[in-house]
Amino acid sequence: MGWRPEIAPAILNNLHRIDVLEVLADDYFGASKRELDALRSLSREVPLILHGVGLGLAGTAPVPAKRLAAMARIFERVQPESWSEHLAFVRTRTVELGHLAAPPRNAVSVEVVAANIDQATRTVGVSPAMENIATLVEPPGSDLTELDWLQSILQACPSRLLLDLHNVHANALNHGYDAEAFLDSLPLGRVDSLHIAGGFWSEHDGVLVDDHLHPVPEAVYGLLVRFARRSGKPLTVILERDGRYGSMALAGAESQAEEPAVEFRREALP
Amino acid sequence: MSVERNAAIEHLLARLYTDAAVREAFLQDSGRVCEEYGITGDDAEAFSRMRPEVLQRAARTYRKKLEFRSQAKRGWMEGLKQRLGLK
Repeated sequence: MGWRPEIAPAILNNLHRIDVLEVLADDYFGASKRELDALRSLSREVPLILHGVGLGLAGTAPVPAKRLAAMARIFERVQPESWSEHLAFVRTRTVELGHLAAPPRNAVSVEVVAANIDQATRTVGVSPAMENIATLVEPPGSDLTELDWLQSILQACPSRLLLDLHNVHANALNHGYDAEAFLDSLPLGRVDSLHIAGGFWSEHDGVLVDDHLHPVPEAVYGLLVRFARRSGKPLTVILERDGRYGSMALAGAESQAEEPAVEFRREALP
Repeated sequence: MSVERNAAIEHLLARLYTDAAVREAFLQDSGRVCEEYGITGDDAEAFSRMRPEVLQRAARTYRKKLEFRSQAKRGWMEGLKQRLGLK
């Protein structure tokens, strides 16, 4: 589950049903020692993954040293299982976007990502898993496909991939590629966790919007099953939801819907 | 291909996503705005192919994500501390 303050009580009451919690690290960059101790206590009850959204490791703007140091501080204090960030830029030298944007996909950005990941790894002490993002706009300046760009990054640095299946689904629909072929081309050994989420189709704009406010669509579960069939190791699957939670039963039902794919993998293991 | 070229593209994208005036000017005359941001040739061509409705949708998405992030406070912490016996 993705940890969200609004449903914290429901999550805490259902920890026995949750295998891993993903916490948005940026929410704790200014946290007190006491607050981080509370997170550390939580990490003793359930495995935690720190998920960053504000480092901008795929951007040309320098990664803010203060934010990296804050990530390192939280990592050391909370002792999560791992941490992750996005293949995105979130700022330029003068503009703070506040959210993830796709950079030009070319050899330069591959080098930029590799250098930033190296810097982040040296500061935090552990390499982040890197997540593919959804983008409505195909970034100008790109001479690599998203798949070629991802593969180039995985060749250029030792990071693992946090594979967001809804982002693959949305980009495939919005930019006209085959999501299944995309999945089949990824190096399985580099993927150790997956995100699933939902979005909505905008008739007016003719695009699928990844908003994390809607149930996970069947197509994404289909991708999950497909990936589980190919995978040679247990998968960590994290449900992302940013609102319209309904009841915990809803989230629970969604989690259970992951089970066929997850169980398939378990049965396939020797 | 250079870091500066990528930086210029990222900068114009960021302005288009977050600044309504720049977005409007771009939708009126993408070539002029690209030139202002030092973007020419194939890159300016790629910018000109952006569908206006998709750009507007992207801008709304960024605005909503910002609103969500600003609302995501750590109010849950008090409950967690209580449950873990830290207060």
